[in-house]
Amino acid sequence: MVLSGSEWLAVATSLQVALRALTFTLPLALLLAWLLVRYRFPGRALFDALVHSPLVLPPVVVGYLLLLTFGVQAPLGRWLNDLFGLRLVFTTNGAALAAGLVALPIMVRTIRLSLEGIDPRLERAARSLGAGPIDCFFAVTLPLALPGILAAALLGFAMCLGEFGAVITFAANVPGETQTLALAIYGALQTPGGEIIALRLAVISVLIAVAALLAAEWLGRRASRWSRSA
Amino acid sequence: MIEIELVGSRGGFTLQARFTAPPQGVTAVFGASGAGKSTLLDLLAGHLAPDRGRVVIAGRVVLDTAQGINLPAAERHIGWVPQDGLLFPHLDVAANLRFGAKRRRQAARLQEARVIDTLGIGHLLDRWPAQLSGGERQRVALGRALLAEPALLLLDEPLAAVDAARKAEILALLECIKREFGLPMLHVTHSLAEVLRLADHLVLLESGQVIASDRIDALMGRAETPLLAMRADAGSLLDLQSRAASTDGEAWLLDLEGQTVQISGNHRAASDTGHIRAYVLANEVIIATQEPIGLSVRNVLRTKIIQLRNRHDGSVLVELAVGRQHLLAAVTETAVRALDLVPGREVFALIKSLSLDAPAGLRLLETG
Repeated sequence: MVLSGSEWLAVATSLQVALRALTFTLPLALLLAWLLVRYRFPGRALFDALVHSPLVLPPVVVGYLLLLTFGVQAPLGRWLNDLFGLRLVFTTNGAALAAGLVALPIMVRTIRLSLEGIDPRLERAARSLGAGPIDCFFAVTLPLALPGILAAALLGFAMCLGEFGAVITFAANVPGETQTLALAIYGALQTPGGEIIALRLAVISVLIAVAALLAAEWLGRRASRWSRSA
Repeated sequence: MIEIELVGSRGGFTLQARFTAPPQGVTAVFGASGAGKSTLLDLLAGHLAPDRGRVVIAGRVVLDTAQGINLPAAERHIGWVPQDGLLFPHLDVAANLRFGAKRRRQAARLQEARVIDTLGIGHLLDRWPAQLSGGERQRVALGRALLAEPALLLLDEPLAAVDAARKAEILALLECIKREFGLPMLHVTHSLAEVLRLADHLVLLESGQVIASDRIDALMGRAETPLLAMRADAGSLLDLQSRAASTDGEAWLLDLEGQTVQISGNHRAASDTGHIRAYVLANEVIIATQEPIGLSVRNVLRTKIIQLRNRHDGSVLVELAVGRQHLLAAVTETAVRALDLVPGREVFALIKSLSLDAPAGLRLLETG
């Protein structure tokens, strides 16, 4: 199957959006999961609900709220634009932000589960062996949570590839900028005679998803080789 | 000297502990579950914030709430060996062993090879913790803690997660560590057998309070020692010394404060220092007012009654002096009246050789 130029563009844009989304959602999800698992603080329940809100809000609403916050006329959007020349609406970064935000709760939940599975006494053992908090996090907590973090990355990646509502609302459907596979399929279906293109794009989506699943499976097995018993 | 003064609470339970421990050897912290042993350990290791307290180890102040000193766990140099070993599952045995050593700031005094050799774990280095047995895991955990070269080693019920067959083995290993590496250890346990085998100093903990803290020979064999004297397995710890001409056929002759004591030869190997510790249950000591004849009992000791103390079960604990050592005998109240046992009276204590034949605690360990 040879891809046409516009199909390549959609694939490349999708990968761009998903990867850029992961670069900020993965560390953020790790931090949020860490806070929620290890610390009890006032307002934790509200914080928890806020982190999970994109899961229950319609993606279109998430996109609209982003537009209200980061739009060119919105205070934060204007400030970012004036100070850093960073414009989010109608850009790949904006699409990544929208897709990443929708994927965030699932990623937090996945990482949280794996963090909760770590015996906190292992961290204490590390401390009593001379590891400071940061050392302890990178030497013990992070490697033990790695399978969960990889799973979260995969889920997040897949969700970002397929995110539709939030992306089209906030970043619109600009070929080469924000037109991901999902948006391109939608676009093709709106065009008379575009069914073949839609079908081809759908097959590509399936292939990418399967490849990502296999890669994650392989990484996960490598990461947890220690749990193999005798 | 190790000075410990800790007040802290967790889940409605408050611990108020104050004691000093010798700078060398094993200090056992003995108490029932719920006495506050794990709270004490967590406070000491820095895993739990104290309400107030002061901890000084070998002149180094680790905690002093009055002066605002509270070193984090990583800087306390207090090693911690939890009951299940808690090896890092994502690191192999070699990496587990090096975890603390790599983070140590001062130059190494211990040779890694010597520790690995002493613990007998050389063949496990490239294994993963999940592939080890309970006993092997405990050995590696001990090695990992030792190689970090702590100023104090905390042993949290080190035999609790080890099967019965391995207990004696790990105990012997702990004795060996005590001899070889000379670092002070705080051994928390609810097992009297472990206390008898290892401890030099004993701290008795009850309901979050230290009810006694002294050298073990000053607490064992005393009728007034709280917690211990009331137990069914109350007894005395005797320090026996081997003699030059020490055998008489199958038996082994030892010296107890100038008197001869005879034990069967099964445990001769335990005597490489010339001293052996024997634990004699109070229930296995017989008192006679006249020197008996025609008895199978081989050990007849001249003793003097120091004091008597009634126990809850109706028996009377008689504390006897054998030279400078103390021996407990449990008798009935009827016997006390019939024999006219009163403090100051000289009596004979009869102990079967078989009651003495195991190193301290081993029999208790095997039966309990």
